[in-house]
Amino acid sequence: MLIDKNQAHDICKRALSFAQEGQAEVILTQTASPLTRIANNAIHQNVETSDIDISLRVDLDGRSGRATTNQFDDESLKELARRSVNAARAITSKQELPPMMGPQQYREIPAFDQSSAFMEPEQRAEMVLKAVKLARQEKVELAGLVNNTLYATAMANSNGLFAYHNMSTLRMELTARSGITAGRFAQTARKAGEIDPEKIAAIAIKKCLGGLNAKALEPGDYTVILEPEAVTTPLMFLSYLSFGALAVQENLSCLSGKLGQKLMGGNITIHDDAYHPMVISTRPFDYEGMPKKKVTLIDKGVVMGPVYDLKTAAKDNTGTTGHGLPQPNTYGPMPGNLVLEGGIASMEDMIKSTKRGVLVTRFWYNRVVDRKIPIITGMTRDGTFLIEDGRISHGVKNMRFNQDLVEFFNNVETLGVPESQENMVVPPLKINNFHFTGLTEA
Amino acid sequence: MKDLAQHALNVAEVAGATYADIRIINDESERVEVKDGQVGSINRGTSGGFGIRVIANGAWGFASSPKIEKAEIERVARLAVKVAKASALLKVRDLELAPVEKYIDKYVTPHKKNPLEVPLEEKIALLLKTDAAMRQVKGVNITESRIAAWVEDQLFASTIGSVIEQRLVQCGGGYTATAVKDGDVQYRSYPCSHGGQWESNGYEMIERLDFAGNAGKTAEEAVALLSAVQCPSGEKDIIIEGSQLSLQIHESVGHPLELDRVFGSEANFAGTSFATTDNLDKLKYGSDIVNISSDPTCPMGLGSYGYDDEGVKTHKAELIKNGLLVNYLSSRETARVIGKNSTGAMRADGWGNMPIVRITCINLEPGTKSLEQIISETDDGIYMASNKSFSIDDRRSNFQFGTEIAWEIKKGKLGRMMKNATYTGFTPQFWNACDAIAGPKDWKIWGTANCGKGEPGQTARTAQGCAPSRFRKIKVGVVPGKK
Repeated sequence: MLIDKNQAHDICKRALSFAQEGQAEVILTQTASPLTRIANNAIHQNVETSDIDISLRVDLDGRSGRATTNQFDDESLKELARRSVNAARAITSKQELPPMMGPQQYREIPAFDQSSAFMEPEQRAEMVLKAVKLARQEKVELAGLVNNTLYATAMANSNGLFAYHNMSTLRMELTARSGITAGRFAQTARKAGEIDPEKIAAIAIKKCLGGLNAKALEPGDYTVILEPEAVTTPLMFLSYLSFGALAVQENLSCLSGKLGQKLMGGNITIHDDAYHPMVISTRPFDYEGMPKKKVTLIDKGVVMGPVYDLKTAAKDNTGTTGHGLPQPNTYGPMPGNLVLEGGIASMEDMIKSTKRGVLVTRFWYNRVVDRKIPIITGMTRDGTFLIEDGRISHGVKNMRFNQDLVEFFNNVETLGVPESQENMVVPPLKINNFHFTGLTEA
Repeated sequence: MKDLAQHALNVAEVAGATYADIRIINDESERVEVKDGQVGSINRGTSGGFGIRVIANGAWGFASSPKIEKAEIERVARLAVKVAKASALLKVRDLELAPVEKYIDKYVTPHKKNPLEVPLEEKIALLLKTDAAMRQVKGVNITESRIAAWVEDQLFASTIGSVIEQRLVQCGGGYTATAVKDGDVQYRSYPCSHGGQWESNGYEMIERLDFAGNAGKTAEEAVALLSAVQCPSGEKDIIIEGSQLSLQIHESVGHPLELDRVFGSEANFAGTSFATTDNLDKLKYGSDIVNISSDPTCPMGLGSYGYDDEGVKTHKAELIKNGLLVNYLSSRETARVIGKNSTGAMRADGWGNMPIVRITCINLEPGTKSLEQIISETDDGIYMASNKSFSIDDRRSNFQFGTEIAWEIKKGKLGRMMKNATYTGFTPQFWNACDAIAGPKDWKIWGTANCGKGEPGQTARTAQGCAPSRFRKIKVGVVPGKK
């Protein structure tokens, strides 16, 4: 059952009413996320889960306490308020707190669809059955999931601010396996009918079978073609390491001291845009209740600036861009919907133009090696292929990379047609001199 | 509450379940953070609800709800059976489970001080004092510290007749000093990275850690790292400090021995394992001195508890004996496939998730020498401490770790400090290169508070016990550092 705008308003109002001291802010989050999980061509986990999180912040004379609960009867909300107030009172010295703002205007983002919000377990099983039928024909085994999710978020504060948004998604991921070789494809949509289990299975199976008898490739610098899912990895890391204003102010970001300077290739333009029509997981306001703005972070390789929340914006004498996390926090603001502008090249065009290179489906277990540069490491997974003379010649064993991300975005040769990747929009990329430093046996 | 639990099991059976269990849980948590001389955030959380797991038509179904009321329990029990019947539309065979005894029991984590009853003021004061001590060191730019605690009250009941009540008490914390200069960023953490040390224990573990007393040295090391030499590239004998080795055990022994991922259950997400069951009792996983067991009965281990989330009583189980793979971390379902009993490793993240096989408290048995002896017997090596980065492939074979700090070892003595230290290898080769493990004096259980696995994603709190150990001829310096 979806908590609608009126119900959310009622719960928020009651929570605020019990916080009788100082200023208060409430964030309500509802998540229902039934999921059918398969492995070895069978359903092995199948769950119906839902929860509500009510988080109350109370600010008392420059001291802030927060408490959360998943119960919203009056007694639970009274206790929530008592705990928030007690937390604030325990603080002896004042904090630098952002103000709680008054009512705001938000753009509507239609992101909810009944077909993905509410599905029966039998409907998810039916989708899986279609995929497994193909897998059995090709004598491979599928692992994966079908997950329909409903989110509702509401915010309110004692200065009269109220915001509400809901959204729903359906995601299907499939990994086809034969021995130690795997191939993968995944899709997310707002409307259930836009997910085609047979198409997803066919792509995953084709990759798996195409990768059989993979050969080892000597580690070194290679031209790589990254599918959109792989492109989300470097962007996700830049998102939390570099593109937030606090990281820039603390001199921890590769953007620090580079405002207005060329940092990346001239073909790289990156925005944060919650309103982009291809973004699926989105919300028009942040966790301070501020409207999200479209922010250009990198324009033709030039640093335009980070995203801000109220606190970091005040420090830089500018306005928030609507990218705050629940306050107070020690992390600062972060982008939520990165959009990397693309080009017109298809994957096929990029492969045809490559004399020798590696096609990467996705990266795995990616971690930060150097915070500021930044350098990340990780492995390729679920479909890595050698390209020779403009065509895919054979599968290659998975490889470890260690890659400077600024260098990465300076080495982009070609950008393909952008695709939706849940909360991001990214094109496939062709990149030169990508650093593979090790390999594995699969 | 027990009546509600029993009612849920009855409703599930009437709806068609051949097995059912229910966990009714109340989770209380608290997190206090200080950053740069100010309280960064305080959050006191509570989350209550229940999850019902059933077998119907030979397949699993699970449903959960935060609303602990009779009518809702009836709805969710029937929903779990409906989900199981949908699962049965695509099954290979009917589920079979290894046997489990019926238990009527209570378990409470051994502890003295409930960490949620210790006044917030006391925690804040300790963190502010620690923060101030770090900030006294010239050259430190960012200081962060935190204390967190969890108290979970759980009632488990199953159609086998078990009724188990548990109170799991866990807490921990730590801090980090960050130094930034000329584009270089270096960190030092105490007592280890990833937030600090975490235990199944009371607040007394925080008092034992002496936060403030170690703050100055930690901050000084962060600053010193800025001018330390780069870790060289090449093959070296390395001695790995306890908290770093704990993560190595977690990633390259714990996860590959989770029997559900060995059987492919995580193939779409966390991955599979190189340690397939045809290797059981055959694979020389490590050298003869490598003995690793699962033991969630260990006092203070963050992955310690009385019963797992399908009612299996905890016990010690050898996983690697004299270097040989002899068992896996398992559940009732997965253990049955290899003809063994469950090792009691089935756990769920809260009330809203279905249990999956998790790392428990897995321990590398101590050796006989002291750390000082091992260092003194190392001619040309590197001592690496406190994790900075970690990555391992989806079959848990190729790994790369980085540490916050390292020291050169020359002719049996610790020498220059090194920064940006990294090492890489393949799991069985690495563990077979282990030729010295420090003894009980240096042995400790380290907690991992944020282990991710499963879809939907679940976070588990696990532990690994170990002492600093030496590994011969390991590839180091794999990432080119800053010039």
